[in-house]
Amino acid sequence: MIPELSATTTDERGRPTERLAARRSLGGLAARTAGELPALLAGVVVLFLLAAVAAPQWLAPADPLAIDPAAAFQGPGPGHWLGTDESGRDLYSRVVFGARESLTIGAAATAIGLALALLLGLPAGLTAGRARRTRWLDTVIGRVLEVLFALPGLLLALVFIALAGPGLVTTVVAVGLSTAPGYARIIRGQVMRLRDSAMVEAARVLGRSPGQILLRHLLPNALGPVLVLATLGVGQAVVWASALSFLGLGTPPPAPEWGAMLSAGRTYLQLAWWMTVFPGLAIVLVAASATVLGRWLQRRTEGLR
Amino acid sequence: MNAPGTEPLVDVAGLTVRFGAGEPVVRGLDLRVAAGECVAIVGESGSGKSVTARALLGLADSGAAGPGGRARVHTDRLRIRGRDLRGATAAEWRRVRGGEVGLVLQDALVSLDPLRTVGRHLDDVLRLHTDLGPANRALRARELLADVGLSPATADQRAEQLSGGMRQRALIATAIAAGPGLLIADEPTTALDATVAARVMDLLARLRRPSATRPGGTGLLLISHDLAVVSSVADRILVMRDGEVVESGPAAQVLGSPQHEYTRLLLAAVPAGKPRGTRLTVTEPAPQSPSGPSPMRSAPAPSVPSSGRMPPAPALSARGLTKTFLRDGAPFAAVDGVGFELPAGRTVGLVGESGSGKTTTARLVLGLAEPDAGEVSLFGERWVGPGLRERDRRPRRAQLGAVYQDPLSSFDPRADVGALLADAATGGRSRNARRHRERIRELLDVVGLPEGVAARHPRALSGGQRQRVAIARALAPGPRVIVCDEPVSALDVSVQAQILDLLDDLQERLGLSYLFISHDLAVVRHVSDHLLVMQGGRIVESGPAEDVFADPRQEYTRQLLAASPTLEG
Amino acid sequence: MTRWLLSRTAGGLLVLWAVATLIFLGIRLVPGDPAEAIMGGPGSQAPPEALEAARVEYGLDRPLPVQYAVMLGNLLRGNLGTSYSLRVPVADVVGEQLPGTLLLALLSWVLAWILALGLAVLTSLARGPRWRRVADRIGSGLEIVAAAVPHFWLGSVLVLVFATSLGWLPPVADDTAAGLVLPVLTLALPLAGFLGQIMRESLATALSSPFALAARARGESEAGVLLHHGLRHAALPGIGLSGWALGSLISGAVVVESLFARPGLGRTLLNAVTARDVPLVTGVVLVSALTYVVVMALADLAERLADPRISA
Repeated sequence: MIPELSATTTDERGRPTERLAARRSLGGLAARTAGELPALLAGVVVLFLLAAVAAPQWLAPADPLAIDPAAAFQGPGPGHWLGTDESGRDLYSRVVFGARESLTIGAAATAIGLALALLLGLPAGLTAGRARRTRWLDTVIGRVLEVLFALPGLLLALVFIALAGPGLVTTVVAVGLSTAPGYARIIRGQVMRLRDSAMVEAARVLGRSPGQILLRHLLPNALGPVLVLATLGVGQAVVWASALSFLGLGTPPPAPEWGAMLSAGRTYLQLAWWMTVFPGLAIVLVAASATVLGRWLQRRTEGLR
Repeated sequence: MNAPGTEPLVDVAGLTVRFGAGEPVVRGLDLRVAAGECVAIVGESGSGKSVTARALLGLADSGAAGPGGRARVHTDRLRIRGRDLRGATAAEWRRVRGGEVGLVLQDALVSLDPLRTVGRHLDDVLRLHTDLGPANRALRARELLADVGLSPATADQRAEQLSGGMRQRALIATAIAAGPGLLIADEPTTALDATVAARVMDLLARLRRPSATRPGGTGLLLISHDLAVVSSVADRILVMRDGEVVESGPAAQVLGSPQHEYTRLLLAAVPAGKPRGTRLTVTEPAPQSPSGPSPMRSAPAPSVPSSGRMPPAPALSARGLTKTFLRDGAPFAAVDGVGFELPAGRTVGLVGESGSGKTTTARLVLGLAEPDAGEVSLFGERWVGPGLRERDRRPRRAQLGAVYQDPLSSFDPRADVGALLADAATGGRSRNARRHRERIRELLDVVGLPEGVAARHPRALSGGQRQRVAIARALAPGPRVIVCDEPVSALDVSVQAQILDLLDDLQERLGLSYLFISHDLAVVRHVSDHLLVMQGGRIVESGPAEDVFADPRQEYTRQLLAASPTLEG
Repeated sequence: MTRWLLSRTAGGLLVLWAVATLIFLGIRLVPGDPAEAIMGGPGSQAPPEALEAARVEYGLDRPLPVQYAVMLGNLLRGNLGTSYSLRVPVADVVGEQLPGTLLLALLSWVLAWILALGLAVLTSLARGPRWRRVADRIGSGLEIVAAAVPHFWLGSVLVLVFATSLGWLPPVADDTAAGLVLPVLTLALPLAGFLGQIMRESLATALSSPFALAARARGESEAGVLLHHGLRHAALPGIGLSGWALGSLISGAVVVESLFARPGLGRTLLNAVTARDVPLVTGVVLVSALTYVVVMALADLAERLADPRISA
């Protein structure tokens, strides 16, 4: 028996990691469950939202567009859990049905942003600080990003809408555009770090070709952080897209989109607070859950680095 | 009560530290340090030696590792200069810290605030423990810097502007600034080059001596993983393992006639002064796989006899390797005309301090960086040099492997051990550990790991186990030459001994040739047939290892030799 | 220093030129007749003669390269063109609206820093691993929720609580200090949540670093460690995120100014976007981009002051 094998597990610096021991005990398990509680709650929220996207009619039997003027401005109660709006539409149904609209916009915008960011960040990261032959690519992309960064936040989206006119597609593209430069910078750094890592060096020593290294080591390992970004990003995109709707530049009114609902509720703020509070809560819930889940994913994947 | 002169500086009995409800990490430790005395606590990682040091300052909670909850410290006796500190208030502890006891921390590189100058650090201590005004504090700070051998201008510099040795000196200056009677130095020379480390140890030894302000001299509590480092300065040695002192006594006795088995194991593991071929582990290595053909299928038959005629072509030969980088806009030759030959089946050791160009040489030899001039041949065939591209090398890559200092970072974080080995064994075609189970079992067996390791992630393994996996991966394609770049530098002494012995075994069984790179002269000497000493990008001395040690020609080699800690006593 | 200033100025000008060009090209690439926008949008049914007159008036009948050159020449002279919808020089509109928005953004930014640093310091005071975890949980929970709250909703809720229900503060921004409280809070809270997440993490890292332990071993009190070794490390990433913070403030200003009926650049931009008033949009965006360039230069300067490692 090799004596060293009997040693306890140690971390990089050779300190024993007592986590493993803690994990085995029942108390450790409880502590770990408590530690993951926020992520667990966020997971439940996301599951509910996904259900709302897939089959809103199961969660909310009422028609979100059905007008019932007699029931207008009812406060939250047994008939209408979250109350009704100015046309007597059931707010709960509208919030549930709005999930599809808002989340689709958020996901699509994030997808556009990430795709654009990959397109910019990957070549920049691969060429940065490398041979003079290819380095210009990073310089050019760097300049482009600098210009995009000078239109921070919603500014780029607003410019885009000013040019292309308001609408659903414009909103999605506009929000995607606004998020792209930030992602691109992160992806560039990520790719640079991986590219110069000991792992890639070891793969080269083992005789792997650049193609193999890109496909088997670089991209899969860069994907984890990109997924984290995507999770965090959907939350932010939902907020921004609904902000545009709130400003009257996104989804037009009758559709149950959270931002648009808030915009409508604003007129009746003094009269029917629920019209403002509940759609907004839905947005906060989405954004917060996305952040919690994203950070949880980050911790999980960082352990892998 | 003792007379004032004989009162120990520190008198601790029954020190027990545990975190939360966990097992104690220090158990019933007794310790006394008298003025002018040097006591060393020696132990490997996880032995509880650093926690002990911090507990003496009431800082057991502040460690980097605070697992399982709040630190709970119990002592039967805890007196510093006669004052009982059990149940001391925070304010009382603060007077002790820095005032009565100075602490020099393990990691000089990160123990100074990167945003503040050395002078500000010194000013803090003087402000807290003396009534000097700002102007006098600045004056005193300069004196202190001079005391530790730094120029007064250092006061205006920050950590990143200083070399490792200078940082450690600056840190020592802060520890002695308020004139504490006891100095605790926790691994004060880890991560320092040998010559620098030797000078830091000299400084610590000098600070012990009686002075005008401290006629009895300063007590020194030295904490180290390295018996060789403490052997020259310590009056008494405590050997710790798993939170307990297993042996203690006068240095000469502990080093000369160790009583405890663990002390003997540690002493045996020290490579210093042990000739090539001596085993460093007390325990015999795991029984090799039952008789039969060599488990290394793709390895060449051990055709290279360990004695007798050398085969005509050397395993590796380098000529005139040169690599220049731009540093601060000016060209700087990291490697400058390096040449050597590695005969098949032998080991060439490359030793040098940080910045000497060792690692760049390794990268050039491995074909990971293109040299500006010079070339490398592998078994007589050109391998690196003008006109040779990576594409030309790739088919022959299997002949040349590499093992690094930090194995974890060289593994794909998504792969478990089995996948890593399957990937390496199949030329990157498969990561399916189950399909290549037999081969993986062989590889693990060769490096002395059980088959079960295949299913685990490298993160869940100890440092030594990870390095074994790294070696197994390097062996997988069946290489005949392995470049080892600081393969044992991050390991505990006893684990280092196991890995060095393993490398020795593998060389004998598989006829491997090693280019062994290290900053540690003792390690290089122990493993090498032939020695290269590198300084400033050049090889300043080369020759058969024992000849170089017996009769170094160059001044630099002599310095290195003198600085390399050996066991005394 | 001179070199730094020169390179900063050159970089800034390059960015401004690129933004102007991008918008110019954008207008021409996107379908739609600017003349219609001038005459009140596509639905205005303006007669062809009026459209033609508008084209001549705004120089839209000339060849594209000429239009581009004219625009650049005007920009160089500080002439941002004439607003389609307001029919006054854009520079005048921007100059009139800028101070109010700057004041709002600056106050919010300062408040966000105070809140973020304050929360970071508060949670760092927790002693012992267990309280530490609890404080961290609470701190990060507050921050995540604050960062997730959209400005437009936060503003409405604040109005609901402090104006409608409690009646402490006016629901609409007037010129009084009280009228500024709700808009500033609305802008500051999400930003504080975002900054706080990063500052708290960085403070915790600094306070558990070896140099903090070394300071404690020198006899430094916890307050001393925080003051001498913690705060600057916590502030650094906050400075680094100034560009992001500005983005959040500008986006927020658009919402908050329209929500609280407070005049300013944000509301001007929103109206311009709604009216597709391209010169006005261009003007506001260029001023924002200029602000961004200046803020980034200042942040760079601040970072160099706070972190001597950079200037080396």
